[in-house]
Amino acid sequence: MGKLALEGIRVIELCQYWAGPSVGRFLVPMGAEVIKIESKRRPDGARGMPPHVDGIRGLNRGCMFYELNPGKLSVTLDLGRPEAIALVKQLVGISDIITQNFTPGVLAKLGLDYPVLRSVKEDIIMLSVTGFGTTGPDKDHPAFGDTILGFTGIPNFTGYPGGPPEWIGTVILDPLAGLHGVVAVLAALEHRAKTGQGQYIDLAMTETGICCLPQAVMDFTMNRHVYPRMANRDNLMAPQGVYRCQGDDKWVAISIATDEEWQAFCRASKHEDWLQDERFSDAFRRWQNHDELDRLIGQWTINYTHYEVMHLLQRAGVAAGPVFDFQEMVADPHIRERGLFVHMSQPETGEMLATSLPFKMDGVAEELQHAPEIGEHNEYVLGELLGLSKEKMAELQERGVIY
Amino acid sequence: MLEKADMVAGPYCTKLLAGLGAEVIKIEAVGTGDKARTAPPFLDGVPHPERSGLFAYLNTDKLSITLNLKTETGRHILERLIQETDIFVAAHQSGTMEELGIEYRRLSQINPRLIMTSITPFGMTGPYKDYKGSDLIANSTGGLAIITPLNAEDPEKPPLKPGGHFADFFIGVIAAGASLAAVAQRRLSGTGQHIDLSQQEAIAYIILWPIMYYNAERHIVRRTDAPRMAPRHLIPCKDGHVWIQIIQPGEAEWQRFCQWASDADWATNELFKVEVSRAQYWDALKPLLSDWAMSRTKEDFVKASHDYHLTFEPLNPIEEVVNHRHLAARDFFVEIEHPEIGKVKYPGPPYKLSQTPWQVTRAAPRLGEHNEEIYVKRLGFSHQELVQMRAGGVI
Repeated sequence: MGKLALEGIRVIELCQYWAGPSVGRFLVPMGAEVIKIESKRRPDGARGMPPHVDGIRGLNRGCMFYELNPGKLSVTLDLGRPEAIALVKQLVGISDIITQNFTPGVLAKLGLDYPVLRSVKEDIIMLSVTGFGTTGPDKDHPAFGDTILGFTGIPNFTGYPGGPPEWIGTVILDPLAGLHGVVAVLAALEHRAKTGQGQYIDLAMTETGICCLPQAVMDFTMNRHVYPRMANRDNLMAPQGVYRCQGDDKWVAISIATDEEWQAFCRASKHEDWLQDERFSDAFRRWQNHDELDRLIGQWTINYTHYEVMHLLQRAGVAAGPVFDFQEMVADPHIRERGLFVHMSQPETGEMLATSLPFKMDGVAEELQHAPEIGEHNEYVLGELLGLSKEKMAELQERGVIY
Repeated sequence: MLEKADMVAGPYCTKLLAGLGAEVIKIEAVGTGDKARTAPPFLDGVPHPERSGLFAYLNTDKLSITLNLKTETGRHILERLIQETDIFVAAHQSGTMEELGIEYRRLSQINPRLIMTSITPFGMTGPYKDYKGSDLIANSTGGLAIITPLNAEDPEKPPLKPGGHFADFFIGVIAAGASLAAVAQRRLSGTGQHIDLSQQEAIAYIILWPIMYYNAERHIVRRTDAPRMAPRHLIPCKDGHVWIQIIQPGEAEWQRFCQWASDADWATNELFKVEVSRAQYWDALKPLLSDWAMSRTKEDFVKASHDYHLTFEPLNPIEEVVNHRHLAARDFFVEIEHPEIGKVKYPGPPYKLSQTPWQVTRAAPRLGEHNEEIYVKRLGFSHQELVQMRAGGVI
């Protein structure tokens, strides 16, 4: 086993909830040491978000926190205290990257903004992840991934024909912003390796969302045309849709890209007569008659399980896949063989499932360590890394600096 | 970087790195090019390989060459290019690259420092490794469709994917992150490596809610679940829609909302005072809140959000996104001059780096625009050979 890709890289995480912690979530299995700074007064908000294990609230029972923070270290410092700020600066002095997702201005008030930290460590890389960025008239607007989704316009393009815009079943802007943050900090590390320079990165969650909605943006900027809402249909592939199968709320997704795939589909589903049907003879006609085609395909799929449809069609060279719920995903043989979900052992609540990185490569740890209990690593971080004596730590604890 | 990828996922990965200064050579199919060239929106709605807005956006700052990898010469040229490549991004339905003899194991013998980033629907191992996919199938098999739309009212309507190509964009940005991690790894080990990305896994990795509720209470999240938090809903108002969400579980935030809505009966109703109870009686609250919202504009909500410290946000129509004063103040949209499309606004940088700012220096290439640059000037073929390669269907 070779070295981990980011061995020796230390990250200070001044982040809570979802977007900012997503960056560290990606970097930890790569070998980075990620130190979360929080306090019992202001713990990571994800610790308090429902759901909690067995419905019992507690700082070490929040399931959102588990997913976003495996393998990180938690140190508790009350940032309202000047001594705590001094300790954060000491930590920055021995670190490579700082990630932060406070509302703009908060770090400046604390005396921890980029110019200050840069004077502590000149080549520091600092990533700021905020809803609207750190400049512009709306920068101070409070932002959560859900509340700012509408700002991007994305829900306008999600929904059923003739129906209202619909909301997506998870918060996509947080992970989208976090993953773009990963690209930015790794690129900045590369730049630092070449030049010795650090830098400041201003990332706005809303902007990463708009970056991933180019059809709608470009249709408007090129044509002053409002891009349509298309449910599960595709511009190029017809038919494409989600069709009902045997069972309660069971569905299969099918995408047919070419005439060859259409023919394979008709043969595999034993509908050779559709091959002769003029309404479906080419992609254009299949698009024109998509409603009728959806009805006919649905009448066929309802007789099978979604697995049966997937295997039958895929073996014939047609793209299809079940609409999995989480239980089915955990049990699925492919997902199991790839090892997508892994167990981690939480000190307070025992075995929990976590999702491993969505790719295989060298330089990534095979196991995920547990998400830290609050303040779990005070001794290691403050004692071993910063060299505070036991007496000094006890004193700081007594005075509520370590809190 | 070398790119052999159609549509969105692979091209977004390389676009991100091109914006940070990487040179990206895009290999396109002879004659037809990247499939995104056939994808809307087109300038004036007229299909044309140089007029796709999707293609134009995804391929800024890249060089385009045409190359037929099914020919012996084509494969030979690919090997020449691989010798000088750091990262080769290949997005494909599984198996298609191996059929062409394009395998990491072989390419790494030509260039041991090569990083190869493979994007496939289900990854390159496991029982579904040869199965085909799409954005819809990734959303479906990755667990997002079964929970979308949020608060679905009609269980007879099918699960939905988010509009656009979000599964493709997610795997694209993840591929860029993994590729850069491999560059860091190469600094330590001296050798390149193969990254095997699964689009299904990308969706499973980002969605969180299902695994959270599974861990907490073995509950399987579905789009038709009763709301646990309320309001956390898109509500129609006088001139559009507004997202109304009470974030804090305590009572203070709801009370601030009720101060604004002090004229409404529901605002003084004890039943709705506590979050648990609002969620429980959401069916009763929703029509009251909706009626009330219908007499207010999006701007009213924006103002109230500011005055009462709430987080309401209107759903912006696309024209308001493109013309938004905040995004304008940040210079987010960038104007790019393209020979066919002309000068229009594109979504700009996803992040602003102080020392190495993201930039666009070149509009998306026309199909094969850089054949001469790459084949003659870089690889040393003569113009005569260029003619013959074209005649032979190699380029």
